[in-house]
Amino acid sequence: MLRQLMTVFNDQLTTDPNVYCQEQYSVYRLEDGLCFGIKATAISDREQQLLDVFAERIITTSRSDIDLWRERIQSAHALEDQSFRLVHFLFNPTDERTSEEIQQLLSSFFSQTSILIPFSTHRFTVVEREEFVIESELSDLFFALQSDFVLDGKVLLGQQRAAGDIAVQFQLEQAALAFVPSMQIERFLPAMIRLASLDDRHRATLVDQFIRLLEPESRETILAFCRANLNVSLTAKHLFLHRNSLQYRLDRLTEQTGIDVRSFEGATFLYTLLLVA
Amino acid sequence: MAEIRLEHIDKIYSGDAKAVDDFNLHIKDKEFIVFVGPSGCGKSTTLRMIAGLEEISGGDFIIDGKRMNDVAPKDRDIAMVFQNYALYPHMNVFDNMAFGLKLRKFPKDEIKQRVDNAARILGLEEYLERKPKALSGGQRQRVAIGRAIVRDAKVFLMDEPLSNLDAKLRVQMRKEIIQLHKRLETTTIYVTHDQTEAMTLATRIVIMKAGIIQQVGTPKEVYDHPDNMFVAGFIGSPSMNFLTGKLAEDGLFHVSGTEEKFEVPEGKMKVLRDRGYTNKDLVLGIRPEDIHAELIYQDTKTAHRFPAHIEVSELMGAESYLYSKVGQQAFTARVDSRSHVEMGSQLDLFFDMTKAHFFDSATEATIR
Repeated sequence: MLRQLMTVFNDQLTTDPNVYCQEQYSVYRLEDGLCFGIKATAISDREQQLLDVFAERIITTSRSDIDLWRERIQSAHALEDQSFRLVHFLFNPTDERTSEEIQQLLSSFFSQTSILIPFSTHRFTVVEREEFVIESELSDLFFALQSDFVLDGKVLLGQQRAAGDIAVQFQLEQAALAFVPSMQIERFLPAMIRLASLDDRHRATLVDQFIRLLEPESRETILAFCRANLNVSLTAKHLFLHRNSLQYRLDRLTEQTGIDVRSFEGATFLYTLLLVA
Repeated sequence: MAEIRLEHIDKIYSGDAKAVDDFNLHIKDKEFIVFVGPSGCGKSTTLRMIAGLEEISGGDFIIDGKRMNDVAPKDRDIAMVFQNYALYPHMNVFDNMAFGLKLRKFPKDEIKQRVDNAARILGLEEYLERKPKALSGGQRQRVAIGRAIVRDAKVFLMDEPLSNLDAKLRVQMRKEIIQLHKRLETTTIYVTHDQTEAMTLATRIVIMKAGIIQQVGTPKEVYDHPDNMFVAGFIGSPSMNFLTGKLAEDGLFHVSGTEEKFEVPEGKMKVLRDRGYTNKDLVLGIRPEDIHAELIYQDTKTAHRFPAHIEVSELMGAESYLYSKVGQQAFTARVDSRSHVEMGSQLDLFFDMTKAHFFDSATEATIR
């Protein structure tokens, strides 16, 4: 199918995401998942209708969408009712052309439902919705990008949340990004532990967001669970609880905070916050 | 093709400590230079300054007569292969290799020609349509190298590119990198902490410690004529043995803490006496392979016989490592496996004193 289309549209058709993510292309996805773009000026209305029959037209993000999102996540509060995750990139200052090329590359990597928001020529945040990239692939992209652009930088892979205040999340993660060592990619929890230990100003926000809402018994559960080396049976024994009651409490904790307290990183994060609160 | 000069290069991070101190090196066109040294010795920092990822605090970095200190990294015509041979996961092999060329606005035909050519050299022709996750570790590393080759850059920089591979694959890739350099003849700077990689790949080796160059030379030069104890100990596996002692008036080397005396060959003795080392603390260095177990050495005048108690013995296949002590000072002998003995045995070992090195115990410099 694609080959036949290529003979019709010649140079006007491309399968290179770096090229078709530019604004002057109409982007389609075939049934087998293969994407391609055709220069908008090369398609007549009739051809457009025909293409719509056998390929799905993908709406690429428009400039005004980006501005809207930029405003939204930079405001004091912005409640998001869908699941989301932010991915933050910070590179050494670079020229406009390189910045454009990096943005094209990032747009081609993230899913079509994600939105890339540039804040400067070298600071970008991607809002992921519905589809989330795998951490190892993000890490590969980051290091490949560094070798191509010979550019130092760092990445913070934010917290995946079912819903919540995306603006507060953005502020916290941007603050944590400042502490990520150069040429590294860091996940939300280790980054936040560093933030809680190093930055007075954001500690209060973190405590507000994750600790204030917890009842005394939830706090007691976190402390006991960590002291028992994340051993459920031992923790239940120390708290004079049935094992199932403790399981229920741990589930509830995860639900309330969005942090998997059963993971080492999650438990360490909540434990650190309790200590500094 | 490029000639590189690094003149009085310094790297100072916050504070006064120098991560790289007065680094001077002239790299000739087509050379394969290996920076080697323990972690934190400044080898990667130097490479990153050459790439432009780190600012040069002092000194001049020159390629083909042009000062490059202030040239933007992407305009230095340098291609770099990182340790974590990362590839774009969402692109196939062809697009991964072509990406750097697309960035530099090469025409489509030339991109195809260059990628096909690199794929042929690296044996990747049948994998061009595959995504990275469908490749093995070795194939991915080849694609990462391919991404550098297609650029046809003046200089290749490689930062521990084989450290993520398993031992067997590392040996194979080492061979491929040697063949590739022979074919492309691109000036290459390669960073590793593995002295075997340094010995096998380099035209010249730069050995570094605490930000300072310890020695520059061909693999044979640094192995046979180390400038100091650090180089002597770092290059070679197992490491060179060091025995402390004194050269007495009788012309014998008295090993500290024992009655053991080693006869020093005439030529070496003259140098030591001329330099005023009689009755001074010295360090004798001898490589494990220069300690023999074959009886034929008992008639050799310059071989010192030592009745050794073998504390540990390791049979490696073709050879055997025997671990023993002179007094409290441990040493290793690397002997033919036919001379292998079990641990706890007594065995006469012969130190070939013509191969011995002597070092000043205070400065650790070789006495020449």
